[in-house]
Amino acid sequence: MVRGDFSLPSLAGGWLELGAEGIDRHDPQEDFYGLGAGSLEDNRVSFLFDRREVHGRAVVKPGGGLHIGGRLGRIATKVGAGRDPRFPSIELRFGDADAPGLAEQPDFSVGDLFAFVDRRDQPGNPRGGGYYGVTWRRYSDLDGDRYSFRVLDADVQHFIPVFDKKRVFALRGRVISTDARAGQVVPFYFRPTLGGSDSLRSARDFRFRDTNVLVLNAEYRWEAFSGLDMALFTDFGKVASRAADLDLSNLEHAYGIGFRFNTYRAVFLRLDLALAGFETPRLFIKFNKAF
Amino acid sequence: MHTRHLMLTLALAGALVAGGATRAAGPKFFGDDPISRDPETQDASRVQPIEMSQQFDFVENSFLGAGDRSPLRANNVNTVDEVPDSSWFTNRAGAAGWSARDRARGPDLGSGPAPGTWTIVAAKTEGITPGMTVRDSAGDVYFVKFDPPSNPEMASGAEVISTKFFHAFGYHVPENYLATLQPASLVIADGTRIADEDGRLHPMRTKDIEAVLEKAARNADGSYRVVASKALAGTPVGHFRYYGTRPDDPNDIYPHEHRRELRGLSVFAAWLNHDDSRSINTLDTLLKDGERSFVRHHLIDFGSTLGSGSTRAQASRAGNEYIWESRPTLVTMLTLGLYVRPWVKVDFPEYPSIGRFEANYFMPREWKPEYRNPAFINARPEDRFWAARIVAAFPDDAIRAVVESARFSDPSASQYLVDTLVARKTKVLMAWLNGTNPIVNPSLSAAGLLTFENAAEAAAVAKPAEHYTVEWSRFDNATGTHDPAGQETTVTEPRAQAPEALLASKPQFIAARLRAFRADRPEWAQPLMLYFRQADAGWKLVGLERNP
Repeated sequence: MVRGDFSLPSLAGGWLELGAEGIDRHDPQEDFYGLGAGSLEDNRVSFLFDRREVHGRAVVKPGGGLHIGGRLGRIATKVGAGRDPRFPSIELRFGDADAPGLAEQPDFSVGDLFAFVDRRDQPGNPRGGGYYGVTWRRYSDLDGDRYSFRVLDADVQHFIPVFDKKRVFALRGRVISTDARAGQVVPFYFRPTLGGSDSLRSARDFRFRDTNVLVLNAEYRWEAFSGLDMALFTDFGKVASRAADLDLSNLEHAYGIGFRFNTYRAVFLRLDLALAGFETPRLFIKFNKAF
Repeated sequence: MHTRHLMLTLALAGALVAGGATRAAGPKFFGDDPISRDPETQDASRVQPIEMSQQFDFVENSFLGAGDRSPLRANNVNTVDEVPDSSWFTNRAGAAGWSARDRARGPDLGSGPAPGTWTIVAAKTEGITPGMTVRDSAGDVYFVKFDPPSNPEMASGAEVISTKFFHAFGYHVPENYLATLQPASLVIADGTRIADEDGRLHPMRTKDIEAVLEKAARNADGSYRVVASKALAGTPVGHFRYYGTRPDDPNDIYPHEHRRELRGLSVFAAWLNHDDSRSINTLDTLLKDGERSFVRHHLIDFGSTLGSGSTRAQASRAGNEYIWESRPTLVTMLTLGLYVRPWVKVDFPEYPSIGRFEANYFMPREWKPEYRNPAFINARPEDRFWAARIVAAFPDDAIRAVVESARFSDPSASQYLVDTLVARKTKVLMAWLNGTNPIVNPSLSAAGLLTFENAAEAAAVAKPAEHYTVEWSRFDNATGTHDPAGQETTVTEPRAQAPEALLASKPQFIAARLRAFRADRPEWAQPLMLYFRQADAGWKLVGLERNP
């Protein structure tokens, strides 16, 4: 990935941030198992997913951790044959009917509005406070007006410390819902996913994919010593083709234990081992926090 | 080589080989004993700067057992168990004319940076502690450090207070001044470069100053309260370790883990919660004394003392547990965090300018720095007793004067800090004046009346001894042998008369072995050996061995 960012972060006495960003991503081995909760492990394929994105942003920061802003930009996408030698390429197993957008990828204009309150004490390694955000985003198909859609992403995180923040109950709920008007379809590569180190840890990254996703995470974290936190975690989640189906029934789950090597300000190494749940045991080694 | 220096070197080598004795064959006492200054006469001009890895220092001390752990007595004490003045230490506590005002002034020789333009010659924005090096309008160089936005006045207050304490204890420290930084008075010197987050150097610009100031507590008028640490005299040549010696310094002959003032530092560090007492916070400088060069050893950077953790309030772990300790870590891991270390539950009052500092839970004997310190580990009861006496010499009014020099804007915070220091001082004295035989200030009159004092009793941390025992002997300085004079005698007051027969034999040296007894103070019964030499006006104390 190549990323460039220009930012004027403290305009108007620190109230206003203006910025522009350009990203060039090249992911030749993205995983795809099919759409929906019933997708099969045996159907795993890989695909190439390239996108180039430029956007400008304006963020108002009135204080108290509140950020309100918007972005406008453009994305060029390309999906091609996967290059993971362990699995078939996507076109060998799926077609445009069960992987919408596989046949052609338009350019998109993107606009979003977001608002969040970030009251975490240390965003890189929170032990108190919370993050409460919502983003509404619109993708407009610039080529054929077939793949225009909207995304609503709500993310709530709350951290309850006890014993001088040496013990923390960390809670998170996230809903991502996409929506396309009649005659439009959400391309498979932009559909939200479930599975991986920061969502459902009993499943591989991108294991489930559909137009709607619900993820619930709860962790009990405790400090073993200054450089290591441990965690008992549980995750629940599901994907659904209709937002109305994002209820608490038939949730996939994960239970496990984590080891987080950290500084006061950040987690720099995380080992999360899911011991029970969808496909376990499953170990994730990451260089960031879970949430 | 100076004769005494050579003898001390040989004696040290002998002691290390023998694992016990502190002197090689020869007279026990020289004519100039007890010395008041270490004879550091060698030229150290070949000393080269030493680089030290902070990370390796942690690993080495935490896991590799750095330093000699032999149960040796401190090597660098004189014959009366005191630390001579040296490039490491200057006896100040109890010195004549050493007033509370002197203590409050500390090492400061001036009044801090001169007003006017401060020219930035170096800065750092990376890391957790922002700061910059400036040259004031008088041409003096200072390193400027800030308070964190969450705790205005905290780090700067801790820095100036602890600097004065450690100076009063006897250590070499920088001149650290409270000052006010006006952003408009800052200019960047031509050629000043600064490292970005990736360590790449680029010419310093105004926005880099802003990045430094962004991480600092700002006054209401837009200025910044800072600590201006004056550059130490001489050429910096790196940090000293708390073990071994510096191989290129011919005067550095005592392994640091066996130096009394570094062992005793553990007591001062406990009192002031200087958990960051590690090599990275020391600095050696090379200075000239006429034609001779010598290394002076300093303690620096007291921003993580008292209740300050430099960039935030001190962690509750500080002083209570090493960064890494296997047992509590494993217990906490295996119990899924249900085991909660007791210090986690300690409550601290809400004084942002103080941070986290308290006296109720404080346990001096259990106090620990950030990680293992070989000198601290080797500290014996007599080392800690020595340091505790220096603490005892710090009256409450001097504590108040030092605290007030930090100019906290909240009077109740200042009062809390004074009260806490006094309470911690009492605990320190209770622990370590009672940790061994507390007899001090012995004197033998011409008529043979031995008088002495009880340091624990004098400090009001113990009741008087129930009785003392004394064993007298004639001492042969050439052979080191004792010829007992009479039976052990018991006295209930801190005085005892030497046997008539012993005095009548006109010995050159008289020795006395004293023990103190009190049922609730078993450590007092450890022996104290005293040696007096015949002098013109009577008897002069030339030897004192606590726990020989």
